Amino acid sequence: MAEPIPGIRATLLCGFLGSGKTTRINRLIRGGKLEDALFLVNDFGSINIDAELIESRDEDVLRLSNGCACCGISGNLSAQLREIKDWPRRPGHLVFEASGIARPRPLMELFDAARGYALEAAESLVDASAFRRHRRDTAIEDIFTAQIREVSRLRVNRAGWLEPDERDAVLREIAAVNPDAEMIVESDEGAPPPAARATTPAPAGPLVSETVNLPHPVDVAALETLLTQSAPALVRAKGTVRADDEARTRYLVQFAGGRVSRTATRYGHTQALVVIGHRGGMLDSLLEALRAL
Amino acid sequence: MTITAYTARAVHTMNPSQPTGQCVAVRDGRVLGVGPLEEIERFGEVRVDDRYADKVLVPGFVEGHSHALEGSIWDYVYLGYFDKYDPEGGYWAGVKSPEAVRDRLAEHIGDGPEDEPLICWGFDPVYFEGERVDKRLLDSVSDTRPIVIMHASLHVMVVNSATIRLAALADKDLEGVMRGADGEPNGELQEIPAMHLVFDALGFDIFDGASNEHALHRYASAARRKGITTVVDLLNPMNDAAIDALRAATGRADYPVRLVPALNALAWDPQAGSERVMDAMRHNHDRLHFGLVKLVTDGAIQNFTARLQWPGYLTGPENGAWNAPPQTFHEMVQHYHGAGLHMHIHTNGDEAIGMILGALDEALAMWPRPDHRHTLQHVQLIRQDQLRRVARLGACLNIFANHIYYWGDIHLTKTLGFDRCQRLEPAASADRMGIPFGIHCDAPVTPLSPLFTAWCATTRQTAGGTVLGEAERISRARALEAITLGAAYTLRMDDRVGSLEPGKWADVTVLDEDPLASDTPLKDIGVHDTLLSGVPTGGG
Repeated sequence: MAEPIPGIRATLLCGFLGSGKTTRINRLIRGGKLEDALFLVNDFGSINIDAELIESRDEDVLRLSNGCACCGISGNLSAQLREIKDWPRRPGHLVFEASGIARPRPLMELFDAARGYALEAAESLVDASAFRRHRRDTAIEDIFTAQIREVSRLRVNRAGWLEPDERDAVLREIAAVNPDAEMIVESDEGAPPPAARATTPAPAGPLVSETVNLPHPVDVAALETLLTQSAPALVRAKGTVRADDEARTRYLVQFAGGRVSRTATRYGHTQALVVIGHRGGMLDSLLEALRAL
Repeated sequence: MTITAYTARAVHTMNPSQPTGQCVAVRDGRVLGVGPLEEIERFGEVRVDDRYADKVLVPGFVEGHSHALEGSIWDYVYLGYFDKYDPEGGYWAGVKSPEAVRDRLAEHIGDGPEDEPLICWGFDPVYFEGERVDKRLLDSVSDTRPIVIMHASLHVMVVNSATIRLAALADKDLEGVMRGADGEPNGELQEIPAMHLVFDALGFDIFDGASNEHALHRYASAARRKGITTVVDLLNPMNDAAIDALRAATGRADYPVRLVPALNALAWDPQAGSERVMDAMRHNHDRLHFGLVKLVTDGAIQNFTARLQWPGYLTGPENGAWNAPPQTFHEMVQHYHGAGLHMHIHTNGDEAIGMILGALDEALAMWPRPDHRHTLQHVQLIRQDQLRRVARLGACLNIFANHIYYWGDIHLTKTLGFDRCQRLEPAASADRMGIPFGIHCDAPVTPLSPLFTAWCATTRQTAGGTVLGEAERISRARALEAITLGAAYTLRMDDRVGSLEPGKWADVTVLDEDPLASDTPLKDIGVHDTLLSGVPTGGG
């Protein structure tokens, strides 16, 4: 049966958690080669599109500055594909970012067969620096391998983070899983993040643990800045604080692995922060600044 | 204030200090006492209501794992193998042969407009002998009106020629479109890529409508009929429309149950999800209780989608499927635990259980929180070492007792084999280790009926009559506790429901026979009525 209107060209992006799918999508948007494209993201979380690329928000759909759009999966994919092809602003191209756990084959079949869609390409992103770790992890090895085996194009990244010998070996191992696939090895990547680099020399004083009581609501952003600035001296910090916003929101604040994060929480009647770090001038000034908050 | 005392043949309270009583005296919707009338009268004048004088009163049943989909799925035609009752109490005989399928279809082919598809649910041909049901049988009923039969697993459907034409299936080169010897589609479609073509062509979604007010009323009526006074909806989208429907339905004074919805966490960014739940909790009232968060980690054993440890499945694929990467579940557990919310986590296979125990371990190391009551749901294949970890971590279990009856025979021969069938749903082990637990039905997966669930936990008998894991049977008394106080504890509502104690809501289930003293199988004991806040819901 002939299609009454040309199908939406679909590109499928697979790859395990942390394989760089979102970075790839941001790059595709920034590259500007795709016009009139919808980026459909299944990520169990917020959609991390670079803020400067977003023009407006239209309910659950982000309108992007280059005429493209982006939205997350709500409900089931089958129902959403039905809806999208009936949109008044029906996209010409759909880039589907599969969840980190998705096997490519059923998705390729779905986009291939679905009325109103035509599968144009299916690729998996592979983080070379995590390849061996994932292959050893029995909880995910089967899915990780299927993501490499079932597609016709592999986009390998972070190979440059490996020593040359290891890099060549890992690339051979990836190719062995799917010898027929076209393999693109990304080369224009930055340096590994600080956690992966040799750790910067930290103050070498002995570890101490201090509790800072924060009886008054605090400026949470200022607190986060303080912790981040003192990262070299800090090992861990955690606690519950009350923000000085209108709602007096309570947050769990934690510092681990060089990063600060916070979570709005229901409990936290005690306002205090436990700070574990290396004794020295940097830690002392942090503690002083915290007490002054 | 008026005191009403409901007298009864026997009262079982689930209160260890006062296990039995003479009546249930109610004031202001709460239990005032269960003691002798003359003692109750010290509080003031008592109006004696003897309508249940020859009945037995127990705490209102608490169903800790079921879905409001039970209230909407009956909009379609039931084609399951086992006998069932719809929410209005209508009896649907199980469909046990291809001929019975044909008869049921023929009976309903005139329902609704001719140009709308006839949709059926719950079909489970795994028990049928002989040829597979395909389009020929459906065509013999109608080859002009589209017919769609959804399998109980939701992974397979069977359609007739009218549907094959509408969805243009003959042209599709797709693995999931099953074909006969002539190369034509035989009507069976497997998995989403193939089934999507039918959903798309006919424009239906079987999950649509499970969160609307109509479904919530039917759901409550189904629960009430089986003696339930507190029921969860354990995978609610909690979008604006769903929350409005929950508030509207439970806002009616005659809504006959207390409803406890859980956020479907996989549909939300964790930060937005936890804010959503905390925001919704502002709307909590006597009959609506937000605060739960549901995570679904793996699939189902009978569908070969649960994540199993060695040696995997007896027949079929090597392992099942995660619904999100294990790392994502670790992060979600950290987040929702940190946010101070109460998680209910679907884990069927032992690999999924191990992964979640690891995540809970880390979250609790980071943010110690005694009495968190995070609850692992189903835990069908949980191992003894994992039970010990559950006890140490202070977690609760909600055990899928009904599964042994409905799929035990399949687990024995197709999915797990003899040994692992002995440990399925290990309620006695949980009890021995002092782990708080409930037992559940997962309606509409199996029928909503706590007494049936309790019967399953006490007998561990399959539909085929085999007993699996006799050592994991629990007593009638323990089973009765699991469907009342045990389930209430896992919902953190044991301060209000689950037992008949002064100060708690007077939620009562009225039974025809004594569940502890009689020899009648628990599943055959009739539910006569329920009381919510001391008010009969069925008009006596």
